[in-house]
Amino acid sequence: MKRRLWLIPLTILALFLDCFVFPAITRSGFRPLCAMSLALAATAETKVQDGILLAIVCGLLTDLFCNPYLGLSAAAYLIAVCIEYGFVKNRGAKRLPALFGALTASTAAEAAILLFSLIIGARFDALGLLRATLPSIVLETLLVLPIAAALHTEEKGGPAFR
Amino acid sequence: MRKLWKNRPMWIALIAIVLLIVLAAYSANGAVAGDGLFRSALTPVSAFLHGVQEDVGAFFTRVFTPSVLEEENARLRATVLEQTQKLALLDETEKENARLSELLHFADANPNLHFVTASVIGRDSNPYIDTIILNAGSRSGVTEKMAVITADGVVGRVSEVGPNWCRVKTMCDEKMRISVTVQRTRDEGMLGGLYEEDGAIAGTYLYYLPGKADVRVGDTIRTSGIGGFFPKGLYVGTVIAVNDEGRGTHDAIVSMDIDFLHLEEALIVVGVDEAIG
Repeated sequence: MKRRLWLIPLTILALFLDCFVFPAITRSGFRPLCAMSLALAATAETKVQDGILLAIVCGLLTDLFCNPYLGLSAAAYLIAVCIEYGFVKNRGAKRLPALFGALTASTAAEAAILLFSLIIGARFDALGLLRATLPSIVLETLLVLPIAAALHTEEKGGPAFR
Repeated sequence: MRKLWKNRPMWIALIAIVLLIVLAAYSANGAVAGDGLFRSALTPVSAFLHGVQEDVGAFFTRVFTPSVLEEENARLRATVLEQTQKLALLDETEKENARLSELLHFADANPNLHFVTASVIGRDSNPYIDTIILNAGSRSGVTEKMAVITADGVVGRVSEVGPNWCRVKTMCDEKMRISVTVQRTRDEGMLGGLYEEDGAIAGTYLYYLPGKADVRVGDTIRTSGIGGFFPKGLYVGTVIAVNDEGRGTHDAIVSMDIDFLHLEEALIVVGVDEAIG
């Protein structure tokens, strides 16, 4: 329970980074979604309910702070959580499945955001999009490791990411 | 219900995903009631966090990018230099304004005299001829032998005139002579020649005062008007020493208030209104 309290400051920090820091300091659309990484780590390390709750709360807050489409980020984060849950559900909190799950989940979330944006009429430079999105996906995946370590508890299912 | 949530969270998540996508679609069309209200309510929080981000970002930018510091330093140096120059210009303008105001007051106090105001644009390099060059000439009505004065006294006489310049022989010239009057006693004499102390000009000689003249230190010397070049009554200087050797005439030394080395503006007397004067 004490470890799950870490979710509160981590959520605030992730939202701050997502909504205010990365949009201001990065170039060419490089925007790692830290809140999504947090939701993925919570899904793998604590409970999927935590991941779902975090995905909805963080996604809606992100949309309210810095996205024009309310609900888009929340939906994308939830898709990622579902995919991550599919990877870790029957494998426990092992590192490799969790990382593959996070990679797939991040890709799916970015793809969902891209697809929705294309549907509503946005246009992108494909090469620029790849350059920006691929590093974001990699970073989102790697961020799951330290966050999961911070949330790790011995009581629930043994050590994280064995 | 608790069991359903525990065992089938994915269903709930999928339903939430569908609902959120529908919400996003409505939001894209601007049809979500309360969206603006939520965003408005979060605006102060957003502004605060944005401020924090800016401060933190600026700090890290400065720490990790020395080039930014160098650029800022260079920019600040340029700004300081620019401000210093502006300040110097302002100071110069202020001093010029004070000098011109003094000349203007002098002109107002002498309504019978018609002046042309001129600035000093040059000084002769010949050490034996003490002249200055002013930026007013025949186009402004200046002719030779006109008197040049300031509020502090007589400067000299125009010796050469060009279209837009004139050369002035100053009172510091050894050969300069003007007729003057001791204001208190009305005694007349001739002023000219340089009196030096410790290698610096300390005044000019006042010759040919009558033997009975009661000249004292502190007496004011003014132009007498004799000769016609210098209007009568212009301030020249103050007596600082009297030499009475009993030869039938007095000599005196007159201190002039004008700082010839730092003279920058002067008035050329281009006409005298006799009716008033």
